[in-house]
Amino acid sequence: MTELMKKPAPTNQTAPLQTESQALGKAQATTDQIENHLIKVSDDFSFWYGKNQVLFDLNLAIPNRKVTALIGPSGCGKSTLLRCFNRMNDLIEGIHHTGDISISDQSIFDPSLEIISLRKKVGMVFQKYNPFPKSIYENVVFSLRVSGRTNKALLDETVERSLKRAALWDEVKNRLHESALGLSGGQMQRLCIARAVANEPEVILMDEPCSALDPIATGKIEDLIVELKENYTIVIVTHNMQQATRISDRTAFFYLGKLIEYSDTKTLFTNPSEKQTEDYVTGRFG
Amino acid sequence: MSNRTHISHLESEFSEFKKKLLVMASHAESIMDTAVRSVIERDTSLANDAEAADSIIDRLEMELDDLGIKILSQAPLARDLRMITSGMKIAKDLERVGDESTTIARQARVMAEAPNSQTPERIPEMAKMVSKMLSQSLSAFVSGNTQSAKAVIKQDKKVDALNKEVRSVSVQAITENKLTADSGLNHIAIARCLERIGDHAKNIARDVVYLFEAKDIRHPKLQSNS
Repeated sequence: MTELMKKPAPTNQTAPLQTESQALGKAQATTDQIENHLIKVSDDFSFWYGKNQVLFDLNLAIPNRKVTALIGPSGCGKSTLLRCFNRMNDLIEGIHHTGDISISDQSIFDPSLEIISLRKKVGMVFQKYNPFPKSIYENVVFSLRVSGRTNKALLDETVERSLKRAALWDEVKNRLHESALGLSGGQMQRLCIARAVANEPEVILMDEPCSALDPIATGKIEDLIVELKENYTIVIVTHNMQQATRISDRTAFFYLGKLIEYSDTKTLFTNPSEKQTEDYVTGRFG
Repeated sequence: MSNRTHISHLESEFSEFKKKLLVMASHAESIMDTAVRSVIERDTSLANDAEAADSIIDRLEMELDDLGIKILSQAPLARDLRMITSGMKIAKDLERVGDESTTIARQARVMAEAPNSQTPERIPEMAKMVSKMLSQSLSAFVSGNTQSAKAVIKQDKKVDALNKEVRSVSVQAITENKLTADSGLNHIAIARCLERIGDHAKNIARDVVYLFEAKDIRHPKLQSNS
């Protein structure tokens, strides 16, 4: 059962606007929701770039409002899986998959699902910070402006809330209209997190968000990730084992496109059940 | 796993750590045996040898701590992490074995200098049992035989019982004027040291189980309640 992924919707297509009360409602989710699994990879999910299969028979459930780390050596498929969650791989020619991924019990491959609404629900932070060559303020409200929001009070409120959630507000509140490119690397990455948070997503995907940062900036981002999980489900790809132990609740180890082991982080790093996991986390291959 | 890119410098530090720990274990067994022989044979030169050897164990403990911290700073995980944390705890127990043995040696010297003192009957039996426990726990560390380590833990109750027996017999002998207070206190102190060495052997055995099975078997009552 091979199903071709659909091409992403044109970027100028607008998604239904989310009201402020809806946005606030998300932040006040009940505790029973917190324990639920938000993302489900099921039906032996597999993925190909052309004829090259890179993910094999995956089944895993990612818990709501927790940090889940995806680890494994280069080429193991962890970033491919991460990019599947918001269908970023759709941009690549010749990809196809079998199986399913659902978020909040809705298949992300459902033909009726608009790709824009999926990406509003699933924000992403990349390895290399990539602010737009605009002001700090405009970076945060960029997606809101694209979706047609112009109410200044709403935009101001979003900027302050998002920058506060990204632990950047105090550092930039007096220079919101200066260029984002004048920020330090760590600040730019937190701005990118603020930009992701501005859409009030349910999930934030992070692809090695600290790999270009010094230890101090890394520490701030890690603290931020731990704070953000109160409101968002976070899936992070990292090559840094210690980072995974510090910030994640669950860890999945991939090797050659297969899920080798998936358990709570403490267990996986202190007493892995699979020898391949043991060898990887102890640095004996990678 | 053909694409091994083993971190060779870390591996050599692990190797050095294990080697030092085994050398320390060997010294700890040796110092205990020497101290016990000094009691049984009433030999002050053996007691002096035991006391002198304690500094070797102390030095090794410090070296192992330094090396362990250095390796920990490189953030080992899984069995490597367990090896270092367990290894540092085992080193602490071995250092205490050295200290207890030194105390036994001091008591042996006092007894040797007292003309009418006698070696208590139960002490050689207790020493043999404790020596076996220590040896067995260290062998389990080398071989990874956790069943053997668990067997050590069970033996500790017998040592505790012998300690109580030596104590009550000594107290009774002092009360009945069959033994001087000094000698009686010597016997009680030696039995107490042996009992503590048994405790350290038990601790080592527990660490061996943690190292190889990743199971914390200390305080089983707490485990069953949680």
